[in-house]
Amino acid sequence: MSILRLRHLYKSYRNGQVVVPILQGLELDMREGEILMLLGPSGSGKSTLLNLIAGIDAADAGAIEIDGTSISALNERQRTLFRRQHIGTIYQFFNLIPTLTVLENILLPLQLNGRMDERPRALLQMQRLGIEQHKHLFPEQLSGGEQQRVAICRALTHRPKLLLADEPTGSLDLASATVVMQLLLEQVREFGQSLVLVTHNPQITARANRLLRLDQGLLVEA
Amino acid sequence: MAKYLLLSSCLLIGLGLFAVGIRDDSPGEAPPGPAPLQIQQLLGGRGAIDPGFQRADSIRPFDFPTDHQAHLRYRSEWWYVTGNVVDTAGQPFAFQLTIFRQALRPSDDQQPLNPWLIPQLYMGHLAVVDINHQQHRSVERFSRAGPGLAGTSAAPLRIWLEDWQLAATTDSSLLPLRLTAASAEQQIQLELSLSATKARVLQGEAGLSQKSAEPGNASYYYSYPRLQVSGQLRWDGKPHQVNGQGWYDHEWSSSVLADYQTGWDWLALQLDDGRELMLYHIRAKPGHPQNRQSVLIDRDGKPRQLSPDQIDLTVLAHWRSPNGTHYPARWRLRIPSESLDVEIVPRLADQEMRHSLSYWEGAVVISGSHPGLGFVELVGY
Amino acid sequence: MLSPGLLSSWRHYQRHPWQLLLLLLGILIGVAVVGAVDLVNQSARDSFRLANAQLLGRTSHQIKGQSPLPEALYRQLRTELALSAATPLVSAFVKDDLGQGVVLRVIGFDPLVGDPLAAEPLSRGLDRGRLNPPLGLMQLMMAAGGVVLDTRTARRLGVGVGDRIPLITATGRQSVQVLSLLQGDDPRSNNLLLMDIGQAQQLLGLAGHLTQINLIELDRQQQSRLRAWLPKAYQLQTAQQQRQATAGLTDSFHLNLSALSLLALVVGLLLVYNSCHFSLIQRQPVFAQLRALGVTAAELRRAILWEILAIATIGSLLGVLMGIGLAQLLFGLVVQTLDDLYLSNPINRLFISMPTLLKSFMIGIGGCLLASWQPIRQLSRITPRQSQLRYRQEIDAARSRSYHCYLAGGLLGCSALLSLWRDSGLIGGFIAIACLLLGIALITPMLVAAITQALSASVLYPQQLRLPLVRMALRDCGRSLSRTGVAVMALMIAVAATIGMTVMIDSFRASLEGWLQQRLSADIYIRRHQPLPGSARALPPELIAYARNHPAVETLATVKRSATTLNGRRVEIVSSNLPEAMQRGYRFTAERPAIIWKRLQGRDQILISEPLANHWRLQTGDSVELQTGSGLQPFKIAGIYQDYGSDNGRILIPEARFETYWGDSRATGMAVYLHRPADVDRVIAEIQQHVGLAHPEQQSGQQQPLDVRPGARLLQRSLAVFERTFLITDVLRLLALGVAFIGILGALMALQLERQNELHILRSLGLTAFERAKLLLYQSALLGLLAGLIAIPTGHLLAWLLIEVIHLRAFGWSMSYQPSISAALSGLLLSVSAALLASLWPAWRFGRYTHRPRTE
Repeated sequence: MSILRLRHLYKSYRNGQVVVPILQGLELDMREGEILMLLGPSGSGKSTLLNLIAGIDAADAGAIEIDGTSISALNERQRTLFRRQHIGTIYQFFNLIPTLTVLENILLPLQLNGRMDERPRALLQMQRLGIEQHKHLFPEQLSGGEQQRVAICRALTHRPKLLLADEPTGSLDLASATVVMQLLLEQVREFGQSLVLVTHNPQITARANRLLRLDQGLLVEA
Repeated sequence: MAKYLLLSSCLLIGLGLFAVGIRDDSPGEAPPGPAPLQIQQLLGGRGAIDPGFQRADSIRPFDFPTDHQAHLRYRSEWWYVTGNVVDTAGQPFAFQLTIFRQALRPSDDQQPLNPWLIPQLYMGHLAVVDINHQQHRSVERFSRAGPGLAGTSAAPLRIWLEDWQLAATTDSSLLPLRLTAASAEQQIQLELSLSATKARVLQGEAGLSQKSAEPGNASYYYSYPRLQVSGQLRWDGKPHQVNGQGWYDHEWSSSVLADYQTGWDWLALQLDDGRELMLYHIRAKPGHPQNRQSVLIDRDGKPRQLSPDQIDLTVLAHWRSPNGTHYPARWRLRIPSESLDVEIVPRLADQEMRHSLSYWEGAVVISGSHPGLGFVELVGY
Repeated sequence: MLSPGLLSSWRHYQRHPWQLLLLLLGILIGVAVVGAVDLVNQSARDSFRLANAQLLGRTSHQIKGQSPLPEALYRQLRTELALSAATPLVSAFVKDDLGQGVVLRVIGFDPLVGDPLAAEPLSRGLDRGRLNPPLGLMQLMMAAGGVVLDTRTARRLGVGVGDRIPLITATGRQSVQVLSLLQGDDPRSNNLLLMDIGQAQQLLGLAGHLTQINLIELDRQQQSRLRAWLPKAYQLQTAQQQRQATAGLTDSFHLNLSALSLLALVVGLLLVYNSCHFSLIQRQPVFAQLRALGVTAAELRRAILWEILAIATIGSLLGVLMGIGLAQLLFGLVVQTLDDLYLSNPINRLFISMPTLLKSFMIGIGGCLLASWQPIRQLSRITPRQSQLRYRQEIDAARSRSYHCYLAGGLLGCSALLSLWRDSGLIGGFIAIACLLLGIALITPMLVAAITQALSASVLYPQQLRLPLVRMALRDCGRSLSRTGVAVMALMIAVAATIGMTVMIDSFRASLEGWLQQRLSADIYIRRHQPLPGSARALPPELIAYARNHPAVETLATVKRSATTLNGRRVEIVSSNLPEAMQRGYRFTAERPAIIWKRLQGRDQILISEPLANHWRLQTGDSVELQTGSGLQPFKIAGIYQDYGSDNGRILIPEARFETYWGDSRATGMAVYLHRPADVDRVIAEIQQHVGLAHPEQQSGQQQPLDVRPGARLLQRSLAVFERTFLITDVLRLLALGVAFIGILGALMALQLERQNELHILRSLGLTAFERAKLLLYQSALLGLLAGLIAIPTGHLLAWLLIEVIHLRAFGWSMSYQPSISAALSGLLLSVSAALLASLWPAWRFGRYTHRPRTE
């Protein structure tokens, strides 16, 4: 069963008079539970690809199908509601809502989906990630590593089928990065989630099911 | 005498041509002075006189005391008193009080409902000279007839302009008369009694005084050439009991100068021998007739006209006023037929009246064959 | 080359032009409102001063009497007392009959003696340049009904030289002819008809009389001499006294304007503070980076100061310009009100005075600098790391909150003290109001924080609802107060002012209505039509007799209104036959009416109105001296009655007593009480028919026509005038609300800018555009709701202060304070809708947000 299928994906940006092609007929098939890691130099289109998959941005051409739903056929609102239920995202920075506490941040996606009684689950997950003692703090009171753990915790607690992570440990020191990444991968495996991970960390890439490189707007085996 | 001309001129400037204006009362700004008008322009006969006014065109019988009052059917009129006096300490003074009347238009006999609308304007000039200290102070005022502000009345006779007045002390005659006039601003005050020492003199031809050849260009004119003056004069608030001799004129008419006439000199001389000499000269542009009149009043009060060729009046010196006007300031007068040869000298050089119109009016002293005192008026320089 | 600091400012505003726009708009409106009210106030005062100058010139003293002076008095002054400083004057108000109803002042003067504006004889001036065409004395004096007026007034009336101007005067319809036009721009000549004194007497029916005699530069000796000589019926007043006697007339009006000016100032300054504060705080990260790059604190401070100064200058300049426009609008309303109330505003032009403009300009600049002082200080002290922390700002805000708390406590205490301490006077009352508003405004952010905290706590745990958005909105409200706090304060003040004014006006209206209903209890009122104040003439005695004998009439009250002075202040004196039906219309401040009415029968007793009693602190039984026809006379106060009809005060006196002391007591009006049941319309028709037959001259238009009205109509008219009086306050309240609105708009826009990253997360978490917009709308509505809620008690306190402190101290009016639920609700609604309206655009942008921050 395929969790993510990309067909003939095209995307370009207009920068003044110049059209910059980013994706040029990209194709991908991803199995459920697969951990897929994405390499590529800066500006090769990794973040763009993740945004397209998350439905935050729309492709110029091509089809995106997630868990059997063709999201390229959905409108903005439908894409948003689909994302709310099925996709989790983790970015390098600014993952958390500053006006909500750590616990509230973690509960937010669940509550958006109408799941109000998930507090125990969230606390359990926090315990696993070692951030339980921070539950009533605000994000800005945490260190960068702690913030990223909260973001991961949120993505995992919500348990979306597909997780998109864009260099989630890129801003952390090596030691913290390794710890955080370990946790992420463990949990993903445990819950059977699928993960698309953009990373440059060679220690991590070893643990991928599949390692792909974005090159000239196409995905190639690394 | 020829005061009527002066009257016309002053009123023309002061009233006739004046314009209502509202000025800033900002302190720094000096009030604009009178426009530099030329006397000839003003006194010219141009500008027809309203035919509604009566004219002095024939000899008329005088009716006293009524004729001491205002003649509202004539355009202009004035009452004039001058005098040379000495206080008890021997300090000499001289004074002048003139009340002018000018009609804005002929009055009908009917009084207007509202006294403010009586078309009669009055102007007064008051001057006092302190001869020892060589100071001349003068003041001007205006008023309309209004509700009893200025005018004349009978029984007893009264001629007044606000608080300046000439008031008879008896019901039947003008003299004796009380003269009251003061200026708080100039610190001068007169409270004088005037009584006649000589009879009234009708000037010109039985009171009709011709000013130029044109008919009707004349006035009705009479004088009291010698009055006994006594009373109190205040200078800077200090009272002086004074005695001396004065002159009274009353003249009315509706005419103006002919356009070739430029001004006049008028001399009223009271000689120590008890006689008076009045002479005037209405100056004309070259090529036009000069009008010279003179009359000698003998000790009994009988006037005698002297012909112009009997008289030789020569200007010996001039005085320049602060405004730059050159006035004659010393004369030699010879009347060979009377063996009179005198010099006439102002008792103070600056006796110029600098008001709506500037003219020179001042006390003079006469020396030579017939010493005495007098007043001189110089207009149109 | 710009310094790095200025360059970054420039780039910042280039990227966010709306922020610059809002900042400028905030300064602009604040300065404009302050400047406009100040200009209007100043103009009204200048007009008043100039109107006095029209009559007084450089006069040091004047002689006035109870009625016009006989001109013989003037003659005596000149001919007997030799007072050459005296100048006669005849003056009266008239209205043009060209359909414009412009109030003009006729001044009749004697041009030979004095010119009313320059106080020097014109004959000396010979200033011909000012009159076009030049005018001879003879023309001015002799042309029947000849007038001179200035070009501006002529333009306004649409007349030129030679034209006739039909006028409504106290004696009926008349006309005058324009002789010449006064050139130049002396504001004193505005709406003035200059005439020769004799012609003016004829026009105004004052032959033989003068309105006043002015005395220029009277020395001490002359004064005492004059005082000794002057008959008792006339008074020698100094010009200062004269100004004071009439000053009371418009005091009340200025007071209202002052109060609103104060409000505008507070709101305007808050807004300026708000705008400055924002633009700085928002750029803290940029400043931090600059600091990190090695820009010194002093350099940064200087750069920011220059920026603030530049923006403040532009904003204030524009504000001053807009203020002039606004002032024009407001002044129209002011003139209308003055015309309605006093009919005494002959000079109605706006004086654009440089000092006033400069003042509002400086308020703008000063306010900006003051407002930016604290943020600048903080900025240059902060380390680069600290400044990036948003929450630190909130911590700082929280810390300053406790300081604000003490300050607010002090202000509120001060307010309470001043409102209870009567001797602090009107100024004290105003300070009390300012303290109240500022004190509550200061604690408003704290209240908002406390309430949102309490709400979020209670909302969090019953978790059945779809709560995340509400909770976030609540949290946002509480946590973004360093951004929104000042805007909320401004909104709160504006709404509180609205509620306060509404409650005050409602209370006033209710008291007035009750009073009018009781006072105007007669069925029919008859008086002469009074086109001009103080011009009422006696009713024909035959008409009074007819009404008295009419079978339907039960009682007839006859009334004469005139004026006198009490301690140099002008008061209205009403004499009447005081039938019992009329007595029932009076309410007293103390004692049973029967006792008071009985006491009034005693010798030299009078009744005085409450404002008069309050103004001089008079009590029943006190003795007062009134200026009567035969000099000052002592009277005893039998009672004090409620009265809203005159803020200057009134005296009620029985007809017979009035006659004894003032002479002529012929009635100028009457009130007719009918038998029950009454057919008012039929009786009115009969009276009018009778007037038509017996007094045809009454209807000819030459005379003032008779005014016969049912009591009910009079009541309506009185209330209509009342409503118009408060029109200007409506406009100003709306402006204050507008200012607050812009404050909120600015605050929300700033928040939105700051929350771009947050928005991105919300988007990736799957919040739809509408949900994102709702988040902001919720927050805004909540702010509006809270500001409104706090404004309700504040507004009621304000109303209480206005009623019990300001009005009582200013006018002596007591009215019953009536809290109003509808005013509270409408204030709340106003607050929420203003906040929601202000959030529409930011919310739309919030929802439409598409910016993707680069995360690589």
